[in-house]
Amino acid sequence: METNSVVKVTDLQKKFRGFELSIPQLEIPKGYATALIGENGAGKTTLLNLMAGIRLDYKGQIAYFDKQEKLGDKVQERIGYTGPGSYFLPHWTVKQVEEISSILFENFHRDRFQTVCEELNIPIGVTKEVKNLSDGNRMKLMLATVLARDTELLILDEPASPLDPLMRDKLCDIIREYLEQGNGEHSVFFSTHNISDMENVTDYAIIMEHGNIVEQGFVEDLKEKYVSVKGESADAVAAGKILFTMTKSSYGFEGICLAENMDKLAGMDISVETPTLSQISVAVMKENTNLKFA
Amino acid sequence: MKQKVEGYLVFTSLGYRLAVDILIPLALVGFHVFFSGEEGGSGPIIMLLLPLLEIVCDNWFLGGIQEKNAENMDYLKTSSKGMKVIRSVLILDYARRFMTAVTVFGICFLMNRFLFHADSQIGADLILPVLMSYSLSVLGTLITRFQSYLWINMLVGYVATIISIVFYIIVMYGRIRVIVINAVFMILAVVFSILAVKIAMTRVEGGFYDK
Amino acid sequence: MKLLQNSGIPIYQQIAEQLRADILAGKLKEGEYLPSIRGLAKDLKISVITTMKAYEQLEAEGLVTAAQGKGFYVNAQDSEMLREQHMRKVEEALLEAIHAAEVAGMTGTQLQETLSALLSMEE
Repeated sequence: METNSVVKVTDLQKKFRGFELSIPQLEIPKGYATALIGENGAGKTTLLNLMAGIRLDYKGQIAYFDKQEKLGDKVQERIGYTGPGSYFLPHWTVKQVEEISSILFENFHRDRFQTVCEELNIPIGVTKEVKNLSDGNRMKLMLATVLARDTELLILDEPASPLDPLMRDKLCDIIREYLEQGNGEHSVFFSTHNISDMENVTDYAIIMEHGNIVEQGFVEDLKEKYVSVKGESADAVAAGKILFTMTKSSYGFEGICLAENMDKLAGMDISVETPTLSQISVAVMKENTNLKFA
Repeated sequence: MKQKVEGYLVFTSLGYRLAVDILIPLALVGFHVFFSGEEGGSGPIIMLLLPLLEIVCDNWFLGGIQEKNAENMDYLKTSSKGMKVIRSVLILDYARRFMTAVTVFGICFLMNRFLFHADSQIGADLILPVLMSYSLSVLGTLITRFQSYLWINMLVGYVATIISIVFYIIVMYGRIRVIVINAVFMILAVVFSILAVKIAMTRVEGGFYDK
Repeated sequence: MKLLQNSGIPIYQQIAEQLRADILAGKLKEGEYLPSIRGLAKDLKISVITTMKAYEQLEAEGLVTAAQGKGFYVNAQDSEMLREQHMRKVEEALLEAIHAAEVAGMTGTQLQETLSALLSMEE
């Protein structure tokens, strides 16, 4: 499918404490929600930090939006970033966050901020300090600050993790609404461990391992590239040589197979179905991890 | 300038402003009146307390801003104005501290002159306390901002108090002329202020890079 | 629009199917725009790419056309194609009947007789 990119990464390299991020080429599609998936320590946060401009030491190029601009005042105004851990100064109150935001960003709308706070049920008290907010509420507050601005790209580092199931559902709604408002001009790039919760809002998926991108593509294409297969124990050994990843039990085997290799399974008693993004991600991650599986 | 002041005002918490703008000046002037007897001004007592209070209060304003992994700066780093705002907040807070010292010691000085009819000297009883307490509070926070524990702020505050006492004794009984000491503290005040802003900004901007 | 998450039929096919039915039944008229891709994704609580894929399928079938930056509009359904579409439906239904007949152990002749009987009843 033909798409424009909202962020274009070329020859990106960053070394950090024995870890090396290396991305020869990456394009985040414009107008879609892109999920960044990978093990802890795969380099997701580093990549997001570089893109959000809160880390500046790297080799390579990162270009933003249609005109391939470099990071600068104008570009930063158009990007909204939320991060893990502490993000605001701990003693700030919600009211202060609002006031500081309107100084930090030209396009921050205080009325919209208040509406979002109300909608997300964020406790607004004059004395309620950020450090006393729960992780979930702090995440909601970060979302409120970026949603109150006129941005074209949201970079969200693990937005779902601190949220409860109801709020995760709401987060998906928020992302879809943001994409709809932009009518193709708004994009979202988020990292997540909660693939199942975010699957219904993920258009494009990027899977990282050890600082490299090991798989990427539009979710619907990935679902055609991989097939979920279940079969009998008798075929397990033969299937094991063909399948991408497989787990065996005394009752049979199940695994993920590349669609192009499906004909090699001919003659086996198997049942197939379309895998979920979660299944695909786990399979790709298993293939690349240093973790040991039985 | 208007935007810088706005930035400073929203950056400081209500509690901090209440403390440094109202409670501390009132308390110190109150102390002054309370401890001033027949023979006039209480000079040293409030001079010893101001740096201590400033250093302690700074903990809930910019405590830990110079910490190694000051990740709580992320929001500011995503704005192109973030670093400018922090710089002006730092500078304005030193200006505010200086004004607080001038106000507090100015009021005490005037009280000594006209209320208690004490024999007070501008150099020793106004300029010296202002410069000394200001320099010590700047030096103190320059040290304490590398961490965020309140008790360390208190400890540094006490050390500042002891240094004040030593200097006060030197001035009272020493042979060094007040004007010399004032000149030294003037230089220290300027040096410490510049150093404090520089160090804080280097640490905060260092957050953009690996150390 | 009703979508089943666990029916085994991919979501995009369910969407395409229902929109196809609406177009063939004339509920969506010629020149009319389909809901915007991102609007429909929001309303159905699914990803944009899934909606996109459903629309692209309809486009491949010649039912709709993509207009640059404006979305997808319904094509004029020429009678020949409509007829073909309906015929395909008839075939599908008949195939199902044949399978059922096999299960029931009916012969071809018996099935034809049943069909003729039903036809005469309809008339």
